[in-house]
Amino acid sequence: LSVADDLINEIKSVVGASTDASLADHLQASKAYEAFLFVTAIRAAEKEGASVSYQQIGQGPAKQFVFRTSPGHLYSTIKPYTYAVLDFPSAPSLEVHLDVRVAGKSSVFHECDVAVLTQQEAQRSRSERVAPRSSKVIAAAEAKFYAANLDLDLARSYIGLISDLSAKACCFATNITSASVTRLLSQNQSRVWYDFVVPNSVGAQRLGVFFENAFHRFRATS
Amino acid sequence: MDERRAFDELRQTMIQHRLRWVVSEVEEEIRAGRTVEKLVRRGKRTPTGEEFEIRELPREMPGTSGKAELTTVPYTDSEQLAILIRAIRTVLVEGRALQQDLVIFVERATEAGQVMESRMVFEEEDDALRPAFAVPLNRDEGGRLASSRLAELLSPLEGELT
Repeated sequence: LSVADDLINEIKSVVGASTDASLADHLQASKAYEAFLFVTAIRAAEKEGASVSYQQIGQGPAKQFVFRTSPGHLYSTIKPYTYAVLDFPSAPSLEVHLDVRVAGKSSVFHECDVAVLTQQEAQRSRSERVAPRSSKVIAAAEAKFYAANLDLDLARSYIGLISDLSAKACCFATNITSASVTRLLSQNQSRVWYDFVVPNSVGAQRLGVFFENAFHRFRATS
Repeated sequence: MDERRAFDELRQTMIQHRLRWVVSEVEEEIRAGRTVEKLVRRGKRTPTGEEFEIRELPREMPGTSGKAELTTVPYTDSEQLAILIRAIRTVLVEGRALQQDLVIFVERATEAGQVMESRMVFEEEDDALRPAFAVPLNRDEGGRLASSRLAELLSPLEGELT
């Protein structure tokens, strides 16, 4: 196949204008992706009737959104990280956090990119300065943003993670797909995964429904 | 130009524009090769005793005398170009759409009085580890238009390569 020179030249000329510092850095792009999953959880909560407010640790109502660059303890007061509070009619309040550690069944820390947990457990974590128990996590999502290569190790780590979490619902969300990852995660129904999760996509809709179902179940059983 | 040259030129452009991490992932994927199922036929020699136990194939392909096993084959030039083109779309088109979505979210939260400032920043607990960075929320029209144009340019190429 021959590729038109003009087309390649025009693509080359537009690549520069389409790039900015946040896309040129994989970490920044990955963090924006985690924030996108956080937003998807918030929108799902609103659909389920929640009123949403934001707090900054140690500061009360949020002035802005401040998130972690790497996983940390929910109870840490070193930085005023932001979290969402979800108030549902006739159900206990929930909190949504980014990049926090929770305690697994085997009493080791696990990192959750997005964690939705009961506010009671989050308050216990802050006052006792202990990691929240994964059994009090009602939904957790692992966010993976990659350009072309979704390593199979990511799926293996996810399988290890969910085997030690007592969270009510966990999922693995990626912006691309991979035949090997798909094959491995499809072997077992407990391995919930969504690929092609990007704005305005079927993948994003599926992830939204995942959170909606988690909220719906929580309200029904509270 | 041929696909090899198109690949090399786009690869170089990506590196020039600080997108080395994207090129690295593309190269990693290409190095790994494409996973395929290969039909492995049994040899004519009849193994005996224990040897047969070890080598016996657990599942035979219907109507054949072998079974499908996994292997990798190198990506063709056309496939390599398709991987690079897909990665460009993933990062520069979908990555920007993701930013736009965050812009809408933060603006809405600010308008609703849920936060005071339209700002989304990422910080380490220890500032010495890594400087803080913010999601660009300035509605970069030039970047958005360039990204839309890029999406239009990539589409016909993706159609030809897949």
